[in-house]
Amino acid sequence: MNAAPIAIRAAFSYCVQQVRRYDYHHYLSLLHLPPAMRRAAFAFRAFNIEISRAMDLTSEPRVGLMRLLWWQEAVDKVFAKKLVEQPVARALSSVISEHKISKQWLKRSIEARINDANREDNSIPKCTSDLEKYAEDTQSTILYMTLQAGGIQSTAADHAASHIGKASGLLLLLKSLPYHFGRTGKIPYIPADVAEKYGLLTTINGRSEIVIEFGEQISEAVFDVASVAGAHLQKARGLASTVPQEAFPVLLPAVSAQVLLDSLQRSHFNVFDSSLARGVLGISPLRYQLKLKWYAWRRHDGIRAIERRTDRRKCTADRAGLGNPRTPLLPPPRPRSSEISKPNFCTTTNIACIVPYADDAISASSKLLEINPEIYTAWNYRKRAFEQRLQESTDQELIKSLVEAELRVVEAALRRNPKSYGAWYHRKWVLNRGVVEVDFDREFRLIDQLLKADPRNFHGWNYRRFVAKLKVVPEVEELKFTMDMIDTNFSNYSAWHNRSALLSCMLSTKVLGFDERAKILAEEYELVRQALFTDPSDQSGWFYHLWLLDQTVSPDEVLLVSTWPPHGSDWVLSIAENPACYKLSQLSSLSNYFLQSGKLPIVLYFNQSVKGVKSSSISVNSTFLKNEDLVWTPVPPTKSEEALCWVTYLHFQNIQQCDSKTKAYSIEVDLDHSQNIISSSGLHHCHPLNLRFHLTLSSASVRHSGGELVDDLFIWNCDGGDSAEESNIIMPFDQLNISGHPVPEFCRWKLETINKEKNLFTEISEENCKFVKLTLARLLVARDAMLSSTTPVTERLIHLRDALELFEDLIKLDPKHARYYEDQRSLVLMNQIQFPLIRVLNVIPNSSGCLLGLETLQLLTCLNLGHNKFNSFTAFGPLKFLGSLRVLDISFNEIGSHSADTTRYLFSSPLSHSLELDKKFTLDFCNAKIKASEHWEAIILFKDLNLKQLDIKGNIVADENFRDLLVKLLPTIRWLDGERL
Amino acid sequence: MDMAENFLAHQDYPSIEPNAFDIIVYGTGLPESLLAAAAAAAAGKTVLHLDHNPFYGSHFASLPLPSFSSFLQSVFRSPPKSFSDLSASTSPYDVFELESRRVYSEVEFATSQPPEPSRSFILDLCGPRVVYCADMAVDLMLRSGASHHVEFKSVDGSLIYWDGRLCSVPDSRQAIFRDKSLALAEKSQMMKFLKMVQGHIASGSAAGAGAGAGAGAPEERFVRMSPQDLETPFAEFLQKQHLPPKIRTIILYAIALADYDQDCEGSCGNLMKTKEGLERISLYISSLGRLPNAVGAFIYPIYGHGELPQAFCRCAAVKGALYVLRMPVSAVLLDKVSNQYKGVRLASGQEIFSQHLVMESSFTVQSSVSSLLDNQDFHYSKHSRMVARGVCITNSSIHTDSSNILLIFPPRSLLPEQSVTVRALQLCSNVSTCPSGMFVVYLSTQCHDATVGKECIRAAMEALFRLPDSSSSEEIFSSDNENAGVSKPNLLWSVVYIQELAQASIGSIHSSPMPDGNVDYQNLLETTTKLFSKMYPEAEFLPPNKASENADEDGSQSD
Repeated sequence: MNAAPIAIRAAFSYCVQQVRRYDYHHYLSLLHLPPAMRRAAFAFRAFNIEISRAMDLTSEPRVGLMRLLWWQEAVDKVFAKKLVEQPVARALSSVISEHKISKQWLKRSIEARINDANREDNSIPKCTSDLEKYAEDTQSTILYMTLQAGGIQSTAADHAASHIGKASGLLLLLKSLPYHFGRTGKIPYIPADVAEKYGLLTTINGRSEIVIEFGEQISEAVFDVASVAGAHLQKARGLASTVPQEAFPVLLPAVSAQVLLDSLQRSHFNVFDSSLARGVLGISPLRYQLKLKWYAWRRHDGIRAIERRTDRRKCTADRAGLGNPRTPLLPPPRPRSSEISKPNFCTTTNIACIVPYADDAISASSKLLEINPEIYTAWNYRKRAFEQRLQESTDQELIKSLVEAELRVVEAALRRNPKSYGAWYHRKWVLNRGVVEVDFDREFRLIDQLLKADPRNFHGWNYRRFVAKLKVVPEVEELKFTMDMIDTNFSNYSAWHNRSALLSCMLSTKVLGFDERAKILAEEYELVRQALFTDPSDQSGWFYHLWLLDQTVSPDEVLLVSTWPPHGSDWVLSIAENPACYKLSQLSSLSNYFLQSGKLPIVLYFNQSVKGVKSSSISVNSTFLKNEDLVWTPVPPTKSEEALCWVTYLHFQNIQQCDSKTKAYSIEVDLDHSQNIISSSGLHHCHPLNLRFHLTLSSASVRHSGGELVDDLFIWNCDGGDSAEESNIIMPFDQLNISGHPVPEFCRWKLETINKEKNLFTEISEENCKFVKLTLARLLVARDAMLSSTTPVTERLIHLRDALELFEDLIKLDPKHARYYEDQRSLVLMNQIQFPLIRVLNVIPNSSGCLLGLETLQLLTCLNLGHNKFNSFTAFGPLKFLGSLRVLDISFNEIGSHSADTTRYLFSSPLSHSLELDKKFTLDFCNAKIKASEHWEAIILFKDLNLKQLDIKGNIVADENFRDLLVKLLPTIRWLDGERL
Repeated sequence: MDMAENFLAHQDYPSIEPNAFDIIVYGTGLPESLLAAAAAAAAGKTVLHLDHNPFYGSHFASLPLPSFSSFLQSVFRSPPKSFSDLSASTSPYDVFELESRRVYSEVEFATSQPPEPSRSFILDLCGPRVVYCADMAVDLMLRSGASHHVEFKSVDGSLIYWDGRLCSVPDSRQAIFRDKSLALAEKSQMMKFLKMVQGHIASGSAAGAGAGAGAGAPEERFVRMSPQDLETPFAEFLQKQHLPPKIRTIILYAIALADYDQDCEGSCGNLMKTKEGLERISLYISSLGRLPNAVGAFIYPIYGHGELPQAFCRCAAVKGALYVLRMPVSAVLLDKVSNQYKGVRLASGQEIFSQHLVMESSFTVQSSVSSLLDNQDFHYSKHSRMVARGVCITNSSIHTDSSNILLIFPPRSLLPEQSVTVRALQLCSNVSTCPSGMFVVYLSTQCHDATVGKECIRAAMEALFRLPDSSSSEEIFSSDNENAGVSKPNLLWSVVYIQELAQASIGSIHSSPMPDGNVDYQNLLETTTKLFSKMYPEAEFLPPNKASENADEDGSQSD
């Protein structure tokens, strides 16, 4: 029959363990109870832990509730002397068998917990008294029972226990706010009336909820509740003289309540202050224990003890008397919100506010940065402090030590995070101040260490460039360093990149030994080949190769590649009856153009982006206009005023006044040696050029035929019947065949190089390596671009087909990046039609999702983009610049298949999407019950276009509403999806 | 008799207490030291470790140049037989004299005097020899604590003699990239092959050691080779991979370190199987970058290879093994009835008893009982019974960039009759075996015929150095040498000798292996491990990691 006592002993030791683990401050105070009461008290505290943790142990409220209900039954069973196989229940039944304990206290505390658990998720206690009741039910009951177990029957003691229980219950609830907030994201234990008082209450869907702003309001609310608790403590204190001596140990929890209250006050009632979580109730465990011991030993209860303490602290408590319980607590000061959200940083900013650039603040910031180098405020603080100290001190040694200190902080920070932007920047900043001589050996040693740890740390490389520049290290040496790094590990993108940066610089400034571009590039090709052939699947080498290729193909001089009207062409300009329209036809061929509003464009197309094209650099001589009046505009218009293509318009308003209607005028375009036309890389156009074409004005009336003037439905000529040369997507450049252009040596080398690379990579292309294929495609395209002037179209078609095939392969080989390859393919296709004079363009179905460069087709009137892969209206952005576009087919694309077009976030600034809609538009849409916001992309696109014919069927977006919108947007439209409007 | 008395005259043999041990080990070469350490440390046996030499290491020792020369010449003398007559009558045991086999022969010194100070040259008897970073030897040293007693230097790289020139061996991705002598296509192929091997190894480790060549490879990247492929000769396998001849040679002889001409059908016993080849490459690859300071796959102990047996001896001594140097064993005692081994008689006349006796295989007992101590040879190789070794001293490096280098002369590269790889190892002063500015080069090749072996060594020396006496041959070389500007190092001193190969055997007396013809210790260690497990089947060989060793043994047995 020994089993039972053993089991009971085990049950009690379990209780003690639980209390020690989850309720340490009470555990410590329970130790001061006389042994007889201690057993019971531990059982009650353990029971309290069981029921208070019931809800926290599970994320499913119902499960927690089940647990509570089980305990309700268990209490019944315990009092019915039934065996419950649970250690705490065993302990309880043992206690009950020894002492007379009222069942109601246990039941009350469970019920309170159940009620709390049953509370709606979002609801909060109505008023402070609700909270007080809950506190009494959960905390005071334990004290009552402990008193019962000690056989103490005193009304005063019970009364004091009630107050102390309420106070400690309330304070513990406040202390647990961060825990509950962290768990549920809500603040459950601030009563609604208090919350409302401080404007913390919002009502969402009929439920009240507390808004969390880490401002002073929450602290105010906490202060209010804490004041109530403080009042209870005061009341208990008032009863101290009547409470029997033997009850005092039971009431020791008053000490913990007071300690918690003090801690709260210290943290200005910011319950989120981390100091509260430290130690026991915010003070060190040792201090807490000493406190308890002191009061227990003095045979004082907590109540009287606190009285003394408050006296000593000269709080206003006693002076104000018990009548006003709230005064003893100092209201929370108004802390800056940043302090609350960044508790770690409080020290620095605080100190900074008080004493500018105090030593301890500076050392605190260095410690802070050592822990977390990402705090920019601290770096900035150091910078300011450094500046000020620098001004104050004249002693060279002191300055040296200041710099030294800064450098050391940076090094410590880098040890924590070698990729900290702030740290690197700080070091650069300090060195750039130039107050002391830079110890370059040390800097390079640091870089070496860092690059040894991580040779691809681009911060290290960046810094190396900085130091090298500061020290004026010859570029050749740095180049050698990159070579060493590549030799150690050639999969080092940073090293390759640095090499490319250095070489670009050296080639452009023509450093000694680097003036022969071809030779240097050839050497680099040789080097990168070693890497590529060793491991074709490593991408760093390919990036370098791409850079080399770019260096190779990028034009080394500015050339005018093509013009319109072509040099030496003859034109007849017929004036229609309608004065707004002109027909322009070429004598030698059948092609003719219709010009609206009497403007004849002159288009210049350069081989690279140039700026400075204006009437002062290009003179257009003709009898009927003045050169100075001409305005050249880049196409497309860009902020940088750089473009491949430049346009000016000759106006013919006065032509009808001209008498000699059949006279041929000659128009000359002169590009002299002017240095004004400059490419983005700083090259000048230096080939003087004289272009000439003839224009005959004819008064013969124009037949009302041709697409422009008639409202007929434009039928796409799919098999390329009558206008073969136009529907073919590959249009030859109207290359200027200006003789006397010397073919430079370098050009020949370029072509040879590209051919050589192409042959090399064709050899290993069977390896199915995506980089090989991509590079091969790029080489083919580059070669094409170079050869375009000399090779016939048919041959180029073959190359193009090869490149397109490669892209097809790539899409299959690497489906993850299929979109990229598709875009590249579109670009290849689009690049074929750079020449700005196509009127009708049929883009091959299923080939394109990208229209870059299309804006140069200034005379385009008919565009067929049907059966492609455009998925939003933003993709058609370039069309906005096509003023003469009349017929557009975008049927059977994927517009509307994605709710949001993500690509626009990649490429343009958010500001570029501000909606410039007229009020009128918006109003109209409102009337038509069309939500403009849903279709603003379409609105922006179409409101600038003067379309006559639009096909949009086969797109997800094209429903009846949308058609209505289009009709509104496009007043000129005649044909929509093949139907006459 | 005179000799023995001389010995006694100036050398008092100490008497040894107690007179019974679990195991007596005679000879302090690496295998013996390892066995002593394993027995003392791991199996907890009492060990008596004897050597008749005044130094540790026996045939694995590193000796100062003068001692090195005298050791090579004087080692033939037989142990003293002074007490054999006396004992026959009194002893209750059969006494069998111990005989010493002649180990070194045809020792040929250069006519020139060795450079002074000659004592600062410390020469390995068993050179050229290196240790793989992922070698069993490294593991054993780490496990036993012997690594505390030895330090290593990195061997910078390997060169292969190809087309009359020394080319670097592109053994890693980076080395392939750097190597200017390889064509682009060769680089690509070499890298592809290495990747394939790595994939094979990875698939093996992924599938688990015992799983074998499963059908379902875990990842496509890790393609495991088919079992049929693994059984084909490695050279044939490489041929199938369409590797160019140079790459093939590099892989076969400089990375897999094959000994014999793999293209010669005649020596079919020595053809490397694909499985073995891949294992060797795998060892090589795992050695690269295993140790942080090692540049290449190999390391070399500072102060020479003699440090290794000493390190293990120290481990054994720490665990209580008793060490007596300068103590020849004169005879072996066998039980008269059962003919079982009982103990040994020392040169001092003292009889010591033990359960086991391990001797260097250069010692044998009289032939009449050799049948009793039935030999169970380990090595299948019946072709190589000797190794031709050479040691050279020069005053400049063979290769401008690196100083510690392994040199490989593939079969037939030097002479048409050269059927075995000649390997050489150049060491500079940073391993503390020679004064600074000097270089020591070891050469070795296995051979059946001493003259052929020596000729190969000489040819290799001619290829590497400017010999002091033969100016004519040097001119021939320099004419076809493209780096005519780089003059070959002058040969200051050299020695060429033949070392007999003796295999380990197991019987009632165990004999431990002699230095073999390999450049590493792999084979020796495997043999030693086997010897140990025969003696103490229940004990672990330098724990904690017995399982992996067993796996290694299984692997080598199934070859």
